[in-house]
Amino acid sequence: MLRLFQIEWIKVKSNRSFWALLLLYILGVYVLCSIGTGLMNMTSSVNGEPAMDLSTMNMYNFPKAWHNLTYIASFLKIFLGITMIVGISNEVQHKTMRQNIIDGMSKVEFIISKVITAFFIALISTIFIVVLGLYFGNTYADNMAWELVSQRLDFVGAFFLQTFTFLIFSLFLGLLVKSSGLAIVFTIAYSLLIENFFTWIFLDSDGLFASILPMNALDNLIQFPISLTPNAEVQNTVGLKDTLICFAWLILDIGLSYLVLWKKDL
Amino acid sequence: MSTVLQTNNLTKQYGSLTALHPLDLSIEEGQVFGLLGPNGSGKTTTLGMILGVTNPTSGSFSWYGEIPSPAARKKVGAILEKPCFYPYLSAKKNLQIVAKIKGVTEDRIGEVLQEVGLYDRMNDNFETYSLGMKQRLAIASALLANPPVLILDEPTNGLDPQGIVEIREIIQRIAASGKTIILASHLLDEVQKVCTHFAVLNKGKKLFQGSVTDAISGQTIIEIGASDMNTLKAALEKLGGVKNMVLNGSHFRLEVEPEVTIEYISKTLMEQGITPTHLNKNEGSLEQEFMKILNQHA
Repeated sequence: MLRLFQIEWIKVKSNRSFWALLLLYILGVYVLCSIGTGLMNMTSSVNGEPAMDLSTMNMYNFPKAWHNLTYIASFLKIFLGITMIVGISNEVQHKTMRQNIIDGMSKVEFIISKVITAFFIALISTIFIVVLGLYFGNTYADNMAWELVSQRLDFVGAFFLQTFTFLIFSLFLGLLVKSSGLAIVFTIAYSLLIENFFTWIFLDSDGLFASILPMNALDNLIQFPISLTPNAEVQNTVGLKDTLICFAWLILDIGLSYLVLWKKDL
Repeated sequence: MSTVLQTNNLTKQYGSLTALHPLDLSIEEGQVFGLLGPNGSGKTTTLGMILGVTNPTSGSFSWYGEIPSPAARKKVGAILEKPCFYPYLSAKKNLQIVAKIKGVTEDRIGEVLQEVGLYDRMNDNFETYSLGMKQRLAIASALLANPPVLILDEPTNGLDPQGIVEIREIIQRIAASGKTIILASHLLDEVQKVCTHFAVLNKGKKLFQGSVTDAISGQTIIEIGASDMNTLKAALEKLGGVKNMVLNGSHFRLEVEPEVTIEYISKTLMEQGITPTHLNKNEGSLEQEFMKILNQHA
């Protein structure tokens, strides 16, 4: 395991496009998550008077902040997915994956090494969202009492699982579709359009079948954090069923990745 | 002597195309084994299968009598088709990855780079290398774990004459150190200069397997041409000691007994009033043997 991590680290450390994409993601998350500061300024003074109750509009107030921030940041996971696909496609195109196998790596080890990379990318993005939450909270939240901050941390865990699973989904597509451009287009199209379209047209969007589709399963972990109608219920905690479905996709995508590699002539 | 590699009915099919017909190949320790054949004859397919990256349709193979495994591949240093490295990494870092995969220390990196003459460039990225340097790095990488077996697939492909000589010298040095080498090539000259044994593949079929010395010894070729090829042909057909005669461009190629001399031939032809315009005698070469094998199976 340590050996595979070391191998991946040599590959990643000097890979500029990897770090560029990761930086782009970090910046993007920072910008998107700071949207609340803009909202506060906008709503705070209409004709010089407070237009709304600011305490309800402040998205950085704990414990709700974890839900708000992880929801917003989840929109940008596509950048991380692209990072993953670019990495895999490079290995395929430069035939370095094949050379790794020739040199004595097993196909299972190769998959594990990529899973390790996905794990650490997801970990970095989760740590960043925690740091960001504490920073914004410290700056804008009304109350930073530990009892409040330590609540609803399950959303942070869910964010990690969601990012990790999405990266593994990207890994699978990167292995399945040889060209990186095509794999990226397909991943974006599928995660943003195809599945939603399919759900709206053919399925009851709240039905069981819709909830087990891979992107819906990820979205259900962290749902829309604001109630648009007065009586609509907002998610307070991450659902166990949604978590399990996500886990199942995680395992399945790893298995499918191996199947692709096992079947294919490299 | 022990058997390094054994294949039993190893077969590869791509749809309806049979890239490799059932192949039985046996390579012994210490051999420098040339896998000879035109492009598309199944050389790389064969190597891909024994290296675990191409799935055989049927048949089996074994390294040192053992079932193939990643552990067995660690004892083989191999390049397939072309040097494959991370372009944005230096030679040194690329070899660090190989060392980690093979589970050996990084001590030998400097040594193998020295061996192929890349020591001074080891911190430069792979993408800045010339083709010859890439090929040399591939050989260094294959040597890194000090494996008993090396597999080199067209190691001089695309190189200029100087690069070819450099690579050949490296291979000859390695061969002299007693390692088993499997060398795939379509260059007969290369195989003849380096290899002790060879097999000929064509259209996915093995046509021949044997030792280079046996194949080229006791073989004498005389090339002969004249302005009137028809009378020449008639005269040559009556000549004693000719084993085989083929028209090769503007002259006939005669495979003759070693006793047949140029003197004897020119004298005989003179007597019949024929003056040769081209007369040349060759002791055997692999190229002739190869052409003969291909012709026999054509």
